[in-house]
Amino acid sequence: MNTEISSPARTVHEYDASHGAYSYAWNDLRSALSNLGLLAVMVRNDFRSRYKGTALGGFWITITTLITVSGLALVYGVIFQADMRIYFPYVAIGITIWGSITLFLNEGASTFTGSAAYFTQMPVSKSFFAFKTLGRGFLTLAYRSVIIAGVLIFTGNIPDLAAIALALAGVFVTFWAGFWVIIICGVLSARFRDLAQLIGAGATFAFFLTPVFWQTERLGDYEYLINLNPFFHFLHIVRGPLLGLDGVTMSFMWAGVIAALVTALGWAVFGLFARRLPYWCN
Amino acid sequence: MVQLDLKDVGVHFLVRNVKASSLAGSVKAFATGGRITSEHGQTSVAALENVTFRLSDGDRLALIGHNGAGKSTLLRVMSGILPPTQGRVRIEGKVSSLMSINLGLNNDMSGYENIRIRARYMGESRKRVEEELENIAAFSELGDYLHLPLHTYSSGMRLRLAFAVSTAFTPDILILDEWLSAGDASFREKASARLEGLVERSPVFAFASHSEPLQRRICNKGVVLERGGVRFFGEIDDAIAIAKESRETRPTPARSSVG
Repeated sequence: MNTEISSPARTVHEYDASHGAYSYAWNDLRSALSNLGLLAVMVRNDFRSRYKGTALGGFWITITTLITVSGLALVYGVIFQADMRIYFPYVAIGITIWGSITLFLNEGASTFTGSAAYFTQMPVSKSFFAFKTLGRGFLTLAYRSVIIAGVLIFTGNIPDLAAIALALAGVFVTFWAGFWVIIICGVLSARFRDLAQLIGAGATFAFFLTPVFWQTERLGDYEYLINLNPFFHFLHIVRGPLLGLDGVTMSFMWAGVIAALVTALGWAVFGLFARRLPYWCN
Repeated sequence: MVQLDLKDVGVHFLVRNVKASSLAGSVKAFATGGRITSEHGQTSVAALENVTFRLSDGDRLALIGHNGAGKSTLLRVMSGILPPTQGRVRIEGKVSSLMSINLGLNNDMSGYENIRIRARYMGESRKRVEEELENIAAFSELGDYLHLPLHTYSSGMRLRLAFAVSTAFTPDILILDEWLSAGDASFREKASARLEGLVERSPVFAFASHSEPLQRRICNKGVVLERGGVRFFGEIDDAIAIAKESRETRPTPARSSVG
């Protein structure tokens, strides 16, 4: 058995190599979650270091996103002859959520290899660093959502409270799945170092297959095929409610199922291999 | 009761990207380390094998052994950092492992912020950290520098800061790789006294050192490691004697069997 009981009196750490894999992983998660205060500090510091010396700090994310979104919306809006009133916010939300998804994949892949110096030399939990990556994703989303709010107001698409609540539920489902994606990519890339590169290449490819900046109607008769793209549903459960698009319920169901599958797979991977991480990253 | 219990502990590192066929030539380099095995084309190093002992209140353990005997690996298992590949570990009590005290310092943060972060990483509550903050600051003697970001510090100043935080909180089990020291002559004296005080207050203490006088003065128990296995565990004087004897009788580096 492997138990870690944190009482004011004594902490007990117990681990048995022959059958302690899942309890080791469970204790790791619990210990990370008991340290949320430190997590917030670390995520903030991480951001501050990244934008050190800049006048705007994290708002550079906001500005970069604004430039990308405007560029895409103007050029493709003309090419597709789309209704700008809808297309501009469509692209803004698409780019934002896609940014979160690629962060889960790419930064997820380097989460454990990048933090190995800590957990191979200090008794800190491994999943703490997965939460840290998730936290960075959340802060990035927060800076980008300024653009979403601005564009929605600018184009006169002001969603009602129910729509906003539903979109936030969509963000929650996306980040829930995102945490387990970070775990899966992180653990597997720690073992198979080629995987991080492969994930990077795959994410670029997926960008074009996913309706981030093009609208699903463009597929014509093949529009139903979009349901096979798991990324689409995560975009749609945030974008759909805010822009009043069709098929939101359907996408919520798909996203829920995918999130459940990813959770099960993530827990299996972390349960089996959490205790191997200090060895793989040594 | 503070306790640290190891039972049949083994640590096998898988070595990647090494072809078994290329090993014959490199065996000599590993001759002082753990046993190298190769099975089904997978090479692994047994850094620890069948390590069993128990420490409790009042035990001060010296890990004795030559380079590659498994001292650091054992300390990492005892700290709860490295889950062994075989056997059982039970650690009852709060562990503080001062193996890389520089770790986690952030160059862009001020000295005070670094004290807070480092202490939180050590598992101290926010309240405890705030209580100790001024003591740590005073001990470091860094004064107003503590308000400046760490990249303005010299390496000696960084070490002072790291040392001041790492030694501020008394754990149940204190683990040390080498005897720590920091700073110039006068600070070093102060640091040594502080570390000794910490060692005395910690119910259980374990460290790896090659200094025999230090082992004798501070420890009451010794474990002699040889190529990942426990040669002896018991009273410190006996441990030192056995280590010395094995050093003298040890033949020129033994070839390990690979196959």
